[in-house]
Amino acid sequence: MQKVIDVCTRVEGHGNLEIYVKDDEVSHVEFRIGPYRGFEHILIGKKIADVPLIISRVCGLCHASQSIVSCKAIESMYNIKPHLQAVILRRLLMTGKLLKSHSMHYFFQSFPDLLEIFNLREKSPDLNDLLKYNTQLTSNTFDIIKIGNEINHIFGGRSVHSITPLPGGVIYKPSLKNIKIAQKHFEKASFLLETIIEEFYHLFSQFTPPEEFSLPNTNYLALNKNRTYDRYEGILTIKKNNTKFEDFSEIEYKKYFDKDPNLQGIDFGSKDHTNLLVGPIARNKIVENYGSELFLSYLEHFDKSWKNNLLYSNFLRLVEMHCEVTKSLNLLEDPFLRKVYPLPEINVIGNKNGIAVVEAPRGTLIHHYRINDKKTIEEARLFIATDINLPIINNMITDYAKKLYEKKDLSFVKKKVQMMIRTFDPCISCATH
Amino acid sequence: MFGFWRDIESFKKKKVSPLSDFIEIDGIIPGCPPPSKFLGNCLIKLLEKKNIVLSPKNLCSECPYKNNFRFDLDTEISQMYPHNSQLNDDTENYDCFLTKGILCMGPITREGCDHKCIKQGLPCEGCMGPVSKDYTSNLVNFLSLFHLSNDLRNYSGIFYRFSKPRIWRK
Repeated sequence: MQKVIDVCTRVEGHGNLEIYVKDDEVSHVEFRIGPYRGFEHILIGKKIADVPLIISRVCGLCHASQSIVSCKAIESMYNIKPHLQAVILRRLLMTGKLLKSHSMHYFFQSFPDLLEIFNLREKSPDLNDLLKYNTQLTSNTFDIIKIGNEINHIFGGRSVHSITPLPGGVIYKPSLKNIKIAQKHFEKASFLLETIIEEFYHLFSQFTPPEEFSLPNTNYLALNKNRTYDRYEGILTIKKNNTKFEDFSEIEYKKYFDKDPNLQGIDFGSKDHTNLLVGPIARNKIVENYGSELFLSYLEHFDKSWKNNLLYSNFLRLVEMHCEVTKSLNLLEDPFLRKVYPLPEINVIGNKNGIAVVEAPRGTLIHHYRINDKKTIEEARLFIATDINLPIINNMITDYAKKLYEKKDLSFVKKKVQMMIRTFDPCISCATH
Repeated sequence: MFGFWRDIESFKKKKVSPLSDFIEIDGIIPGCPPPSKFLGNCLIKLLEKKNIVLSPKNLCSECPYKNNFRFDLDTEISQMYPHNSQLNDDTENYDCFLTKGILCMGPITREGCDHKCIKQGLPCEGCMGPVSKDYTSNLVNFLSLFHLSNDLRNYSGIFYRFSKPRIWRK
């Protein structure tokens, strides 16, 4: 068996693409993720107050989601509910990070690929070509990335690894000046995103997306609040066979999926051995109401062939950004934002198991901690979106590579398969937690 | 099956080493994360082929609460982070953490982070890294001056969280 390895470029983290060729046929393709970092083992024996700070270091892009879900898990142990101001600030932090994450993925990873897939460019342009191709898109994207950073700097204390989210709430008293600055940033982001979305459907909606990128029959998992779009709190829903919905609380996650004891490192396993998909597409399949009317008008520009296609996730990312920006503008006007509440004291343990869930930009993120009598962590389990998606990524790229290899050019296969991996937007830093 | 099998045992035996043990490096940009302005300045310096000069001062030298420090050997340092009730009281924040019995890594951490955590009312966790190459002797000095509680003495991963690879260097 011949094994071909290529470095997977333009993804978040270090990943390899391994293609196994046997008897002139591709036997299987793996998206192999770099070294195991052992955060679940590092946490054992740590004090509870340490956990959000350590877990934030899992990823430089999804740190807000990681530290917020960790705070939520600790709060569920102590049976405390953060006050409304803290929830608003956490939502704003999550929006800031979503803006940065999605805009970077769209501009640096997807957009060059989309130009090549729909034959608008002969080969996928590099960054310099892209600057010349569309200067306005480039400056708009950099503006959005900057806005995402600024929002996290204002509400999180610093732009990466926020200081302010703590178990029990958020230590930050927003001044009127900062709220006004944030408002201006969000208004600008809303305008910029509208132009980017319009450009997207002018460029691509007339085409039919390639069949190879259409999604297999799979189950979807996403957090939602009575089928409305909510990334902070709600119930988990699994959509089976595109028809049947199953709602469950994050506490009952073990009924549906768990860590597979036969695997080490990335060890996600669903109970009925079916694959789960999380991320923008899963959110779109489950959520009925995005809370934005503009969203529906944008959706009409795409026909049915798009709706079940992986490339549609690029458009959904742009729309999600716009929805969150609109919501954040409303949140900034909330009278509770300016009120100062004392942080609740965390003393009495109500439950030794703390489980919490949020929707990170790339999909559902669940943290489960168990503590002992000394109030130190005994066991930590992190369920991360890219881990959940990995079996589907591997299945889809194997099928794709088998079709492509009929032309007998491995370098072509390597290039095309990487495009498919990039569309999933895997976060390898998180996956190798 | 999908190639995500990992042998954890083999990872346990491995040591963590800094990049400079393997390749020649141009300089070190400290911080987790590095402050954005400092990172930009360092990159400009590297492009100009100049050396990155790191500050030899510790965080306390520029701390906004340094004048409030009262040296008291009897104060037992028993907390890693302030309790939530301590964070609620505004006036209390204008005091050195070590005086209040909260462990702050400021004395043995490099300055340059603009005291972001301290301004929010949280003690330094040491993310800018050790202030000098002789970190262990700094640490011994620090520990000899302060009275750490037994609980914190037995708790691993406080002092070497952001500097372990450098300490293990031969």
